[in-house]
Amino acid sequence: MYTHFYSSSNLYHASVPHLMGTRFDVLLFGASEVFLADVWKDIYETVERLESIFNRFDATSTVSLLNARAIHSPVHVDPLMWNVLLSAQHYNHLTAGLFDITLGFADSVILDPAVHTVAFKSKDVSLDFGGYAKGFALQTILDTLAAHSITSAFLNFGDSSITALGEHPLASTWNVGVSNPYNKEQLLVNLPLINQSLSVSGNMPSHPVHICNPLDRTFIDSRKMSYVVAANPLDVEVLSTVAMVATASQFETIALNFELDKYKIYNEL
Amino acid sequence: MKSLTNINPIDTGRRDFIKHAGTLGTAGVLFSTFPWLQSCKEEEKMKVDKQKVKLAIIGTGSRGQYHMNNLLKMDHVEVVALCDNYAPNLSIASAIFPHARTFDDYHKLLECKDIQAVLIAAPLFAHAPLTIDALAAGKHVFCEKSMALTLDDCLAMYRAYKNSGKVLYIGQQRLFDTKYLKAMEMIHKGVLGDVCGVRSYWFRNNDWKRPVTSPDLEKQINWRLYKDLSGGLMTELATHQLQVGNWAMQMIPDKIMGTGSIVHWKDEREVYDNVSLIYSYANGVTMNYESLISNKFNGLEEQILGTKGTVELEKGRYYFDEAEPAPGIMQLINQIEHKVLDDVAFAGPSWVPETANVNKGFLIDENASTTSGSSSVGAVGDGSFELLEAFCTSAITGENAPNLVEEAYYSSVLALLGLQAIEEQRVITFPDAYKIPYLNFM
Repeated sequence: MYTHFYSSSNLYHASVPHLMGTRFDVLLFGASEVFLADVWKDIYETVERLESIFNRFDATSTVSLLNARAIHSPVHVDPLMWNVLLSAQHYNHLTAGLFDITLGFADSVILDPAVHTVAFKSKDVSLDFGGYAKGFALQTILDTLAAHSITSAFLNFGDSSITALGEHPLASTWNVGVSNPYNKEQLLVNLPLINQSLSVSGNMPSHPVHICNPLDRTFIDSRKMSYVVAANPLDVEVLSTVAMVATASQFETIALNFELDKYKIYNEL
Repeated sequence: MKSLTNINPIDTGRRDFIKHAGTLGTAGVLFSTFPWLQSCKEEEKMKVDKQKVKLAIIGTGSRGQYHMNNLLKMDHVEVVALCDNYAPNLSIASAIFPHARTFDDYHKLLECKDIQAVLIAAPLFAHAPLTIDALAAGKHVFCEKSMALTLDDCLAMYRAYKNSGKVLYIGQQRLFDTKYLKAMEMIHKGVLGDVCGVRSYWFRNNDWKRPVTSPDLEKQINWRLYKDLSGGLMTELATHQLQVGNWAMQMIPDKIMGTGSIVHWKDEREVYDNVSLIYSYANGVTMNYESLISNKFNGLEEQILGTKGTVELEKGRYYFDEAEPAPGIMQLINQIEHKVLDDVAFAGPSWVPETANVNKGFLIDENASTTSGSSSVGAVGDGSFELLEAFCTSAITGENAPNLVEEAYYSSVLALLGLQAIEEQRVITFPDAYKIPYLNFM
């Protein structure tokens, strides 16, 4: 972990190379070094805790335990996980099934609201929060920042899940350029962000085909990239992935269910 | 040629700003942080508008010719005289500046009232007498590094400069190299943590000899190889890098130890072909220095080791120990730190840690030049142009470059103390007699 306080700008920078499966950078403003260091500590602990829940490559994570046990018998989950599961189910409905943490087996997951248990009806079910967790983390971090009365911050998971809280110290907006993954020198669009989140999904030269349509379980190679901007970091995280698999008209319809500020789908780059 | 006044961390072109991740400085910040840059300020340049300093060049060998080619591109200088006691070089110089008068005796040159400034690119042993005489003659002086061949001569040069009221520049071009300026700003802000070590080295694989047409000319041409004329690797190479270490540390070391020998080039040379030294600072940090000229695998480098990361100044790169922040984030921070606002292009499909085990680091300055260190003459884009241009401005305004001589003095003296430590095979404590008021020796 790297941290540094730039006293001339009252800027606290923290960077973690591997968190939620990617690099995580945070810029915090508007308070003393000691105070901001405490805020960062809270953020880090929060995200670490979320990683211990969502990381399906960690055999001891909540999701791994669910994936291993829920086929055998209903597994009781804590309130946080229960709400996450409900939320994922809600997104599944709002996106016509195109957002799906089960990759096509949503009907095989039984949630019992009376006792907060999860059961899988099929051995093919395996929960994957890959298109959800970073957005959820950003949403949770916004709560943490609000609790500390931080009004200006920039949060960046791996350059693809970004939240800009409040104003840039020198301007009203945080201007974030999106570059072409196939030609890094090409700027595709500049997005001025203020109290908004940006999520970018897509294929890239190192991973040309890696996003799956949960409805027919085919991998998407006909679409190159999408981005979504909105106030809610979880909405943009979910919808940037959905935008990769939905048809253009499907996505237009789905988008009506959300308050999106901007989005774009790139079929060619 | 890029001027220091035009140092701008952000190119407005989209294509360029994407490439510009990791850039650190703006001109304003550099000027306030590094006082010797004051002649690079736009207002200083306004003062010298349409004026030209009448400059003489003493020493027209390879380094002198390197400067001459830079001078051809400068506005505020007129080369009016050339001096050398080696006719072939003087002839080459005359071809570059055909209207300049020529001299084989610098005393006569210094008598010329119209000459306002001299550039000394003569062999090391001649630096002190040339500089002291030129200052006494009322000339502003640019003298190549190292300052002098002996401790006493270094001190005499410094005192002559302080008493003269004239401008003195010493050729420590890294003080004007944008990638060094930006890196030092970052180091001094603690971005890479506390400096806990300095490692510098310069490796070449050649005999460092130049062909001579007659044995009588051997010492005149190959003066670098003889102890009564040169300090060898220490005065010709190490001075640059010792200065960089002190600059990073903002401190002068007070203990010196080292060893040296002639390992490979067993000809008639007297200076070492390999040296290895340790300079210790009062806070316990050491600067390790190594140079040899029979293997070039490692090239040259100054590594500043911090508790959070490392800078490799010659390569123009910096690295974090534990984590590599996103390049776009570093660009964003630099803009905020320097009160520059521009777009930052970094967003894209998720970064994956496929190359996480390879720490490629960040470029200090995308546009900076780097060099292999193999040339004995000089490199393009290494600060030499800006240094000389600043001197020309100073020679017109009469305003010195604060701290520049002090930086150069200590690097020269430390090189000589290193030689003394090697010769005497003992740990040298920095002698009080050679301390001038600067940094921790105030």
